[in-house]
Amino acid sequence: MREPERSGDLPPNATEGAENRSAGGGTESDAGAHLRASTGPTRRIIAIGGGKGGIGKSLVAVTLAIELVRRGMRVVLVDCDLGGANLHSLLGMEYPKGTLSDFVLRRVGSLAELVVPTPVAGLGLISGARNAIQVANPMYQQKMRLMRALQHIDADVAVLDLGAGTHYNVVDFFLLADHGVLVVVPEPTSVENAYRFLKAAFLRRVKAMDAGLGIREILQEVVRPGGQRPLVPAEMVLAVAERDPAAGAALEREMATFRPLLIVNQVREPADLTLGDGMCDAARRLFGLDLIYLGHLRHHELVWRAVRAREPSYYERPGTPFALELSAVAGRLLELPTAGGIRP
Amino acid sequence: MKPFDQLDPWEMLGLAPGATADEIRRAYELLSSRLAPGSLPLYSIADREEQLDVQQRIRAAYVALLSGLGPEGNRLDVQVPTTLPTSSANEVVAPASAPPTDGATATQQSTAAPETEFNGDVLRRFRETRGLTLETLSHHTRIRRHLLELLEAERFDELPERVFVRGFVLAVARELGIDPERVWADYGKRWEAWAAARC
Repeated sequence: MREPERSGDLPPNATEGAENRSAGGGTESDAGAHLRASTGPTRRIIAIGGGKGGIGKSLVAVTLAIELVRRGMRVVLVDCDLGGANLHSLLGMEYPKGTLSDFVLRRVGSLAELVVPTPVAGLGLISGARNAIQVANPMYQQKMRLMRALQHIDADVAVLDLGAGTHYNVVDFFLLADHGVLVVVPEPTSVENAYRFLKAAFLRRVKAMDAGLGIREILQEVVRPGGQRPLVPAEMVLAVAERDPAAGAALEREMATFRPLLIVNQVREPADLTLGDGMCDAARRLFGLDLIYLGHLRHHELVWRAVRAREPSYYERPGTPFALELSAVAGRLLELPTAGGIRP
Repeated sequence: MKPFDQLDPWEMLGLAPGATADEIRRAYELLSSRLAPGSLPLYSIADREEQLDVQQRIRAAYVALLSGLGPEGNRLDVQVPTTLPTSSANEVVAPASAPPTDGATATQQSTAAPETEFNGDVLRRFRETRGLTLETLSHHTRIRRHLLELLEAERFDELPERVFVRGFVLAVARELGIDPERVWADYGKRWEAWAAARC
């Protein structure tokens, strides 16, 4: 797991981003008004995470975005792997000049200015910051501004590719989305990180709940001494409910609306096919959390070759085994209601 | 959503109460293979011992659903008959033991005072002095007749997991108007002695 860099002591990369506007050149309300005036808010935000690096999150994000374009949607891919951006490479593009750094550092006023066309017609890309550590761990205000702007990107769907790790700067983007998707591969390390991510995301959401309920205080009281297994979400609800039934009920409602999605990537053996359902079974029984399984994607040699050759046209080809699996996954995802109604 | 150790058999198998025997069997087979000890989905969230516990509980839920559970799928360890039959309702006033004092059981009752050890045979005699047949007791407790027989005969190897045996014993004790916890304190020791000898 990558440890967060908090020091932010590197100077902003002045050469990065040609449109080096004066800082504060556009306020977020300007940007929001501008975008809303054009087409209204995004219909769906999908975040692709999973805790571990190197499990194909970015490839899932790119190919899922392409599948949605094929279904007639206008899609923007957002490389939220701040500090480790590489979606452009998967799409066979040069590193775009404008990146999220420019938005976070207020060199541009709106995300719309950062959307660049990709070789896939109908798919836009906002690239992630190249190397600016202060952008990888943005200040709270900057992050809130970015999250608000993401909710108003001019597109039918925004697909966010998240970085590795369970730092709250990653988890917050996962929670922002209508659909938070966990990607796992059939390996113990990936499964472990996915569960860790799941618990971190749940805790983060609990912490964001109404402070007036006092849930955080109750949870601090019931925290177990070191060495013991920490409470799982279902046990937290029980512990809170014993002390304060109203707070317990609120926490239970919160749990019921926390429903991350799951994709098993790089399946190679028949035995791997039960991993997704098994993780849902385990999460529901042992954590008390509902995961929704979207399906699996096999390891396809041709996909791997396309990644290596930076040749995205393969992903667009319909009818390949990969495209069929992806279509099944996307179909299940699009059947789900958006969380828009419950997002504050 | 309940913690793992509080899931009832239906929740454990992820079924709605009333599922058919076929559905129960299919759910059990799928779940027990997906969450088998050493399986990837359990990696890092359950240690070796907990993984065995998961396996046992899945199996216990399956056995309970197929063999002992009433059609409503009530949870066994909290099963309290909503209406006590009048015959035993009158006797519930004497909470700790004490079958009625008719001749044949008078000696029994004297030994059934605090020092009585509640085993399967004593449960049978309590039932008989209550004038209850296995059928009637089965009807009231919604535990199958066959299981009640096994319980009285202490055929532990044919009974389901401990948690369900406990549920049966508590339900039977309540029905007989005996202190359930006291009965289980004795009966459970006998079960554990058997389990220890088995290992």
